[in-house]
Amino acid sequence: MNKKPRLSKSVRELWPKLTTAALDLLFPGAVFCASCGTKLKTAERYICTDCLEQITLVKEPVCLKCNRPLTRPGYCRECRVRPRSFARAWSAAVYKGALRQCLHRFKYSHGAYLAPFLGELLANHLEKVDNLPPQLLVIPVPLDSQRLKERGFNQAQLLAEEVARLWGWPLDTKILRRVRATLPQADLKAADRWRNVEGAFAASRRLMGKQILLVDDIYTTGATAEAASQALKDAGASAVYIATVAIASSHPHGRDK
Amino acid sequence: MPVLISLTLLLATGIATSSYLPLTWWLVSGAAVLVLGFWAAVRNNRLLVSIIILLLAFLTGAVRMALVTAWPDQLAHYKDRIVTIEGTVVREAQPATTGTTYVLAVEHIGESKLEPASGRVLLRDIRTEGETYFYGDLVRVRGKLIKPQGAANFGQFDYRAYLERRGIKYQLAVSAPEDIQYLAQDRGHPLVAYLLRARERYLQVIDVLPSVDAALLKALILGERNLVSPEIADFFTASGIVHLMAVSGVHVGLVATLALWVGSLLHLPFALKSLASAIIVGIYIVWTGFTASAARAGIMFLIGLLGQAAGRPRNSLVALAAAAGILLLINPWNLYDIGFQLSFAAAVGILYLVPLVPSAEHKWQRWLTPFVTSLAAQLTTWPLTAYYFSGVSLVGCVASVLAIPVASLILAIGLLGLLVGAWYLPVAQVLLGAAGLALTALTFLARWFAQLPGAFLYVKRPPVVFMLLYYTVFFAAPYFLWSKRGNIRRRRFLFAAMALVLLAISWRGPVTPVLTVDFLAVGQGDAILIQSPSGQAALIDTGPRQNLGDSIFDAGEKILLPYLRAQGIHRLELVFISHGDSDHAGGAPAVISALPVGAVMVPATFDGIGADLVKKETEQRGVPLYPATRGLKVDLGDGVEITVLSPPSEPIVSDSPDNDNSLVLYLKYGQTTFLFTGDAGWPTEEYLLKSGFPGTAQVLKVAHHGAATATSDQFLAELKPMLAVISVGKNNFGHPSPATMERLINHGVGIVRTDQAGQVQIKSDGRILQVSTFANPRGEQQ
Repeated sequence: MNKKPRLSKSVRELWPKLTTAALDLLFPGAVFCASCGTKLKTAERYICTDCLEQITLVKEPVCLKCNRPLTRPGYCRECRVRPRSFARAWSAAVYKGALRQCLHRFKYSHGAYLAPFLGELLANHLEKVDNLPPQLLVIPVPLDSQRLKERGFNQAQLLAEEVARLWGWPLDTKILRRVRATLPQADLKAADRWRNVEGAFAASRRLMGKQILLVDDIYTTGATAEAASQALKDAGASAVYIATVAIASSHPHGRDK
Repeated sequence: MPVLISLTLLLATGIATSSYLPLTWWLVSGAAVLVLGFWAAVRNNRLLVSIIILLLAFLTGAVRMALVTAWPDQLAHYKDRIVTIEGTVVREAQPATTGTTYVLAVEHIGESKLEPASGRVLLRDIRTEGETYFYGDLVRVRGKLIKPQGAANFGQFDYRAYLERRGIKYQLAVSAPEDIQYLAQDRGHPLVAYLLRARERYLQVIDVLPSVDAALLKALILGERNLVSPEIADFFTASGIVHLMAVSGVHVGLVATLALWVGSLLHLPFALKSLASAIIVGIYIVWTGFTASAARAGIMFLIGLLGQAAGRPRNSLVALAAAAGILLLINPWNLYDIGFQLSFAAAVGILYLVPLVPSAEHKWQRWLTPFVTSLAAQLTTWPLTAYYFSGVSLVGCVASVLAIPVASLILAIGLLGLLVGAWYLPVAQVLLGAAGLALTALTFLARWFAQLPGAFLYVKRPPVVFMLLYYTVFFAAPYFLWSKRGNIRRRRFLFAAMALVLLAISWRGPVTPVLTVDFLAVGQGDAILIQSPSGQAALIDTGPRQNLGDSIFDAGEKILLPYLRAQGIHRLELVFISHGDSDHAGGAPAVISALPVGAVMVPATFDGIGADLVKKETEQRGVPLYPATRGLKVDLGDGVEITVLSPPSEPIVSDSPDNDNSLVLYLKYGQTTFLFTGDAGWPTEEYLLKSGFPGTAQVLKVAHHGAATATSDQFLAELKPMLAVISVGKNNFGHPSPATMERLINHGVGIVRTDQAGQVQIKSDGRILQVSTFANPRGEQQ
């Protein structure tokens, strides 16, 4: 923070360093827990120890397709009846309690600074995954352009950047696009969610034989993941894997309970 | 601690210590440290570079302040001369006690031939009628360039220093219409001019309200307090919600929220929405006159937006430190500005203390949050309000909880009304009518809380040591109380006990019992406060009450009461009034009406306008009024004895019986002796010489402000005073007379004058006298 930027030959190199130094000075780190809002202690970052302990990591047995926690190994009912064009979905933790608060802050309350924390949570989970392909092209689920304007950032893209950085994988944020406007999934019932996103995505160029890691924040019904993965498959991707920070423990209509 | 907070604290320390060394010293050491810094940077010595950066922050503060104080004063040459000034209005008309005031940026000045110069002058326009001038108008004025009135008593509000902190060193009063001429317009910054014109247009809408409501609304929306009646302002002060009349976080936050909300309604993209709200907040701050508290809130809002745009976590304490740093760099005098100090103290309290409170577990606990917030602000600001205003509102934290939502509502409706009203008045009338209703509710709240018993407490001016200790304890407390290492209970107990003992000791101050006699500087008149070691207090005379044309100067209200309150005096055992002239008795009614008084002692021949008002007031308050004659003795506790030496039971017959029958009082405490003579002249002195003194007097209050008709050689030879105090101000009587001064000098008596030295304070432990004055506070022993 009080590091003096070293004298470098070109101003072009110096400028970003200076702005980063200035930003570090003004925003040295989070002071309050992103989940419960209490003051963080010296050793804590982003979230307090109590809340961190509350985050329920996804543990076996899970659905072998969508990673949803189950009571016995196998496939969940949803994955048995729905088409699943993606190879496998992974998510780090269950969407409830402290993590739910965190993701809420991340998306709706100026929480872009939480991306390293949530991205790391996801990247760490991928380490524990069986049969992880050695090289994946990381692609974020694109955000509706209207919402991108209002929010100022795409949360999936921030997460994808973190995952790509931590795993050393290539990242492409341009290739997958939304071809029509959609409503926010969170506002809809499960049945409407499929209709809302069906055919909403398209890949802008061919992806012959590529293995893709599609990154998003939350996996609920799998409708968004399915629609996006379908678009990538259509562009020629050989396999699509889904990675989300959180997975809803049940369907919004509660059928899987 | 985040780096930026350390840097800002060091910057402030640099500003505070700047005056101890001259500018060149600071510059030289700054340059030396810079060179050392480059060397360390080249050697890649991280630790040294860090230390040097911290040191540079300190030196920046010192150099910045030294630059401001050492700036050449181009107007000094014209001080106390009749000059003509051509200058631009940079601050528009503000109503004052008499007439209106402007601030002029001087362009040309001269006695006959005008020469270019720069500097700022407070223009006091006391013409009975005439046009007003706007920002950017060039005017030519003629009058005497003088220094504004400074403080002369310990702890008194220093108007001269207040203006100098704003870059204004002189004032010039204009009373004749021909002394002010309008020359040209639009000489100011076009953007500021445009914003102020717009402000004018919007503000005119407020005038659809009755004037009382309009004044209050202007105060709430723009922090313009000058038009609010003192009565209503007092209610707001006593109920502890006067902070609403200074534009601060509440106001700026609301304006920002409204702007962002409108942006969201219009589905503006994030960048555009932020930019628009930043501009709106900026305009609002210019409208409020760029006060420290408004600027603080505005800068913090902008930093918040920046953090959002950069995806950085919010850290409000760091943003607060950044705001402080920016404001101090712009004008380092801000450090001594009351508004700056109060605003930052309140913000620190809220941002530092509130998060320490455990988060709410039950829903009903959330309702406590506003209360906790107000309490936090109260806890960090009360030492400052005690220091500056000798008073603390005890109901403030409760009143604020209720008042802030009402004020926010008023602000929202009011602002909306102004914006709409500038285009279509009928809608504004409805909106402002609603705001008027809310204003009534707010006034009712203020009045109700102000009139609760014990709502407002006068406390003595806290010693600076106490304040430093208080804030240290405050910020150290969480580390001791919340840290979970070691023996928690014992450490908490030890910390609390130590803190309380230290605070109590520092509040009390030095405990050696002394007699304190204060000759207050009240202008032409007498006012002497006696505090005995036992804590009892008495006054001898109460200063003048003068009619200054269209305003009244009452020394009792303006000087005595604030001083008594700052000293923590809540009761006067006795008030001696030497005689009925208004320069001695004038301030008495104000004092008697505000403080419990044991008794008022006057001579039997107590007459005149001043006397009549005193008689009326004592009768109304039920305070006994005793005529005192020679031989009366009063014990003020711990061996402080006051004896009446004159008048005799038969009044002295002379040409001026009022003056010559003044109370003459002899004070004795151990070996320390004083003689207070009122306005007594030669006939009284003859009588005193004839009837004899109880002893010599070490300190003589020279009679009649040093008039030639008193203080004879014989009198001085008999009394053998070491020190003569002349209580005198600007006057047309030629006081003090050169003849009297010569007599005093011939007798080898030391002389102090309140018109030159300001307040004279004499302390005694019964043997040694300690004399200090406002001009020489460290004083000397005799």
